[in-house]
Amino acid sequence: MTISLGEILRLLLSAEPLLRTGPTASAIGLGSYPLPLKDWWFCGSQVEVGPGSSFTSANECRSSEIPLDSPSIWISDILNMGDPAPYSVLLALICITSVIIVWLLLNRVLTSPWGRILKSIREDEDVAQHHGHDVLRNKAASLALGAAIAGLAGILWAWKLTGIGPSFMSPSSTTFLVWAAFIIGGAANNRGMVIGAMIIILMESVFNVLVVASSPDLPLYDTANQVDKVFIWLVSEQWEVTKFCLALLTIGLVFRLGKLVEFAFWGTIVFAFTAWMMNGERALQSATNYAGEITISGAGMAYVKLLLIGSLMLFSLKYNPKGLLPEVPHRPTRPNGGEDA
Amino acid sequence: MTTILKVKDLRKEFGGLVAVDSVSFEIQSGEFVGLIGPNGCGKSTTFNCISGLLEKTSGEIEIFGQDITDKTPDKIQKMGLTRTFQHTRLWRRMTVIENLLVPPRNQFGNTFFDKIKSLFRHNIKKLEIGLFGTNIITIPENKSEKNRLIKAFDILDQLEVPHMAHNLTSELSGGQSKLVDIGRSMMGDPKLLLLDEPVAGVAGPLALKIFNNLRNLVNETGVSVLIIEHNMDFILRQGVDRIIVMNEGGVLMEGTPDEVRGNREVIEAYLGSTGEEE
Ligand SMILES: Nc1ncnc2c1ncn2[C@@H]1O[C@H](COP(=O)(O)OP(=O)(O)OP(=O)(O)O)[C@@H](O)[C@H]1O
Ligand SMILES: [Mg+2]
Repeated sequence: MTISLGEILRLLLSAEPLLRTGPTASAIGLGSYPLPLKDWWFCGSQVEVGPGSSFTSANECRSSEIPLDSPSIWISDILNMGDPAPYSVLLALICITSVIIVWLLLNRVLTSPWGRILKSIREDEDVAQHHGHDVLRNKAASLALGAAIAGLAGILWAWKLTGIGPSFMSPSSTTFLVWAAFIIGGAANNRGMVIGAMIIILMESVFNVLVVASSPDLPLYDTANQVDKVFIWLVSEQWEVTKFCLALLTIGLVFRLGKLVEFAFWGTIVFAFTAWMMNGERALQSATNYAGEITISGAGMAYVKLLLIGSLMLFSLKYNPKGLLPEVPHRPTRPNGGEDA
Repeated sequence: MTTILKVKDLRKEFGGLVAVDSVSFEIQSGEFVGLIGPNGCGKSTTFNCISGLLEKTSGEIEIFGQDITDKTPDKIQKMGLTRTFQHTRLWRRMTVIENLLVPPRNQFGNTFFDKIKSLFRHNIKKLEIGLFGTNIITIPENKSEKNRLIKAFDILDQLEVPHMAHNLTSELSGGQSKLVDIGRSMMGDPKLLLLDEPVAGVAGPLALKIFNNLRNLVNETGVSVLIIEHNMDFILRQGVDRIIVMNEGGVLMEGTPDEVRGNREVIEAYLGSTGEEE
């Protein structure tokens, strides 16, 4: 429901002319919007920024010869960075503050009357309705709260990227990752969510580096290559795969391994059928180079990332379905001095 | 005495199967009424139609003089009706005490400000947040939340399960779940309580006590209770005012426990085996 609504909204907004005000007016998306406190961060409160002043923009302050009395210099002095601290440090501070604020708010709401009503709707909405709670309204309100928090996160993200477009949000890089974070960390637990998000984001950035670098002496490079090779073999050499499946089938029949027989049987049928359909030709015709060899550049590191996250989720679901930190139920104690109340 | 529940010619079909066929009865305020009948005669289906879970095929249902056609279960609950389900349906990943704290009415207050306040000021003790021995913020206790909590613990005391208050309801035994379900239905301050086999699986002495408590509740607060129960001992001897006997989707007879005991048809249709056990 939520996802489809979001998708509708995205498509509608991508037709909105007001949102096509990037560097080129025809491009969808927003760019070069002002960033909060950027002037203050690089120029400090003493220096005026503007057309009349000696500094026309924050970037000039940053590259100024004489260090200005600005927060970015203070931070860089504390951390011994040499250069003025980049703007992302300020953004990180803003992000951490917002995480803390949202955390405190949500923890408070979780044990409030509304929090337990939402939980009861999660558990059994029929019964919650029979105890007098309008399911639709409550769900809508919680959706609104969640969307507000997501909106806040979106603002921070947009500041970090300094330009946004609708194509930045693809399900495999956003929805899927958020989902993975809460499955791994533990649903219905704020701490678990933060830990899960950290695991996922660390994996993300490690792999983004690996993808960009993509050189043979990196860890997992060989693995990725092997996976690629197996895949190429599967799609391009179907008769070989069929023979392999037949061999497996024989082994299964000899040793009476029911599961293996089943697997190999279906494998044989599927691959024999596709091979017959393809007429023995190679399936990846379009990916072959002039010598008839199949090439895939960059040893598919991007897929290894998704593969790893996926298997992490699978293992987490299988062996630790509640996540790293499970939900903590609310246990209010009996108030004392009940009579006078 | 006013009529609280009026069911007239209620009919409910599931596909071709007629589960309830022209059932009519009335419940007055402050009445403790039993509903009995053999398995599959349509008792639970009648409940489901009254509470708004199922849409009736035809007939009229009025609660407090208001027609409830097109009303959703939450609206009907707000009118003052609470029901329990035959198969106990507690919120399983919540504690017993949390389960009891969901039904109370008007938990958010009326004004917008009250609603916001209910999100953040629900502590039952005065909270003092401070650094190095100084108070920065003091959040006063929330009286209404405290009262709800006190009431919930009192009900658990009555039902003899206060030691389970902090367990998840998925950890309860079958009988304990039934008890918590009864407790939960009382938390919503109902004026009309529909209980579907509330003491099935509850040990004899405690079941007796629950019947007595219900009787007292009716006497003291004037609520009306309609209770489905298969145990004839309880229904005939434990202070029920009136009994409605259903059979094969219709009402067979209505009357006091004595009248029901003396009715041959009832004995044949229903009491047959259980009657001999007495
Ligand atoms: N949701 C449903 N769909 C189809 N048929 C149903 C449904 N609910 C109940 N029935 C049928 O309606 C009839 C009456 O069922 P109901 O649950 O009302 O019986 P009951 O009097 O509560 O019996 P018991 O004493 O066993 O609880 C049964 O024949 C049952 O099969
Ligand atoms: Mg039933």
